[in-house]
Amino acid sequence: MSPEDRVAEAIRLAAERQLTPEEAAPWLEPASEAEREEILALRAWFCRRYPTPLERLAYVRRAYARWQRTLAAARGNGQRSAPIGEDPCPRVARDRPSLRSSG
Amino acid sequence: MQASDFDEEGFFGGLHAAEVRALLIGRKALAVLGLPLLTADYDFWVHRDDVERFNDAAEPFGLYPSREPEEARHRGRYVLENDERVDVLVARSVTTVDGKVVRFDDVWARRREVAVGGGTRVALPCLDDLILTKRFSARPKDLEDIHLLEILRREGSE
Repeated sequence: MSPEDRVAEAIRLAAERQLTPEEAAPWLEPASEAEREEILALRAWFCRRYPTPLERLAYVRRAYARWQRTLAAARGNGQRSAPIGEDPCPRVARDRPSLRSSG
Repeated sequence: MQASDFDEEGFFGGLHAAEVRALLIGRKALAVLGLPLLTADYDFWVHRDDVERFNDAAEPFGLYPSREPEEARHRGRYVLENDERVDVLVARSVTTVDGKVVRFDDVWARRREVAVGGGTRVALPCLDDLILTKRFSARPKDLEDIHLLEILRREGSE
């Protein structure tokens, strides 16, 4: 297994791990007003740009394919596939750079 | 592996036409609700008596089951795959990490049918139940999804 693959496997295991109640607690606290506004603004943009669920699902599919291509290109250039600790399933917000792109 | 001609409109339409009791769960359900999240696969919770009809609806798109229906019912899960991947849950009920038993029949009774476009509909759990499905595993991404769904719930987005 290459170093790249070991990192990817470590990230996958971390992402798939079931959290303890103590670890989960901070995630389950109510959102701040700023975060709530950010999420609702992101949702408003997404629904305005892609009005139907079919369009939204197609966008997610394209975005995932784009992300995979980016990963493959990074590997081809000898770069890390993803920083350790990065959410392997980040929010898709790359078309809207003013919002955060990952959790 | 042969490339499939998968499209959501045709697949959802096939499920609806065949009256398959199938609930879209997972991050694709969140995308339907307007939350842009990155995910590769589809997750469905299907009534255990409807596995064959679910597979029949997927077959035209080159999606083939990883297990025979009876074995899938026995194990409670299987996968349909080609160049798309559909994770299928077929359990009668699932227990959340904090011990709440969630029954398919109850979730199905409370479902919402969403018009997805092109005259097609797909069944989703109501927001409360979708949040419960995220507590089946309680992985980091599930908790983030709960966080987002709670925001929608407080907004009355149902």
